Amino acid sequence: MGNLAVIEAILRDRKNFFGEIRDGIGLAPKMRAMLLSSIAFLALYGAVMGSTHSFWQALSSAVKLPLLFLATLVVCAPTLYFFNLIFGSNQSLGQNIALMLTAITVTAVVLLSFAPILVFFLLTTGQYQFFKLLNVGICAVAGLVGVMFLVQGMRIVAAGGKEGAGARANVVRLWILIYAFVGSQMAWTLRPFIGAPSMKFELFRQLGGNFYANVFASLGEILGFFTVR
Amino acid sequence: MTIDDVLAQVRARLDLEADREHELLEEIRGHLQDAVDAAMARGLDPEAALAEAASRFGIVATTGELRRAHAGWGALDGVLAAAVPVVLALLFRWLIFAPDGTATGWREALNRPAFWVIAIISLLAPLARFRQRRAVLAVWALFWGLSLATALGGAVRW
Repeated sequence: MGNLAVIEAILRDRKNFFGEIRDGIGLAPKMRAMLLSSIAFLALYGAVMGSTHSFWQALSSAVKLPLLFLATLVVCAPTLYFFNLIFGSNQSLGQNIALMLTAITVTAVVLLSFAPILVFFLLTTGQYQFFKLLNVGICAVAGLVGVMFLVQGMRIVAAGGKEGAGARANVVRLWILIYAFVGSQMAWTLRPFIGAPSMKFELFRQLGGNFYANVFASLGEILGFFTVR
Repeated sequence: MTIDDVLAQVRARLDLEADREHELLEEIRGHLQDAVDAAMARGLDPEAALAEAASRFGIVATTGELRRAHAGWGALDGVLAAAVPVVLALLFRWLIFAPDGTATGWREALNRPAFWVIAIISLLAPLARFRQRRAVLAVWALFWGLSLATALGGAVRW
């Protein structure tokens, strides 16, 4: 399977695609193709994010954004696999990772589709807090679409499982929450992705604070309640 | 049952891009009509003739083959339409006009012949490359329109 043909298969022929994952057909080439295409798309989106600051920030974000998604996958994959196993799933770890990679690939495609819009705002606005919140919003939408694919894929791949189907569906829902929390904390740890205009380029910022407090602070500044320093 | 009913069953299984699907359905309609005419010439009534034609066509097997043979690259066109302008914008911004990472104004870029050469090639390249030219051109027109408007207006602060 061509690395980019996997996008066509996921978006247009997803039932067959998930059916093949269920039957374990071509798992390795599928995973390789999804990994490569999602890295490429995420890198491109990351480069646009960092382009508001400097060349080095663009380069750094192009590396860090794929790293963010893949590190989150590595951290969260065992939880989903073992809890599915406990509730009667017969899926292998490879099948679970393939499903998660499908979600990441869809997220990456959606992010890429937003990249021209991001370039548009890059050209037409210089407000850092707005640009940051725009990215948070875009990532949330993209993540949501990716997660919807994961739920659909889990349903198709798990079809035919005898016991614990309801419990496994709940496991997936809970896992999505965990994935979102881990992902947001991972993003906070790997920041900056955009780079505050008043600060010099740094590969990583000091630990401290958290993602949610920062989003609320940015909202507060945009709404005129206070100024973030 | 009519030919349209048979075509509706075929359509439900094809799941291709709309224009390609329409072409195929029209082609299948022609073949089915010929087969029905031939069967009626052999003395079958219209309903039996259509049933025989549909059976010979083999909806499940044939549509599966057609789907595999005609599966498009529409999603990839979309990926390219999004990626190409963004990649070129980044190349312009960071590698061609400001390789050292410093801000170079678009006004300054406008005075450089290289800018115009690359812009024109970039605008024309999608014409030769992609099937969905209108979509690519629309993205490009928007992108370059905005770029030039902001450059001329001096609103961009890199």
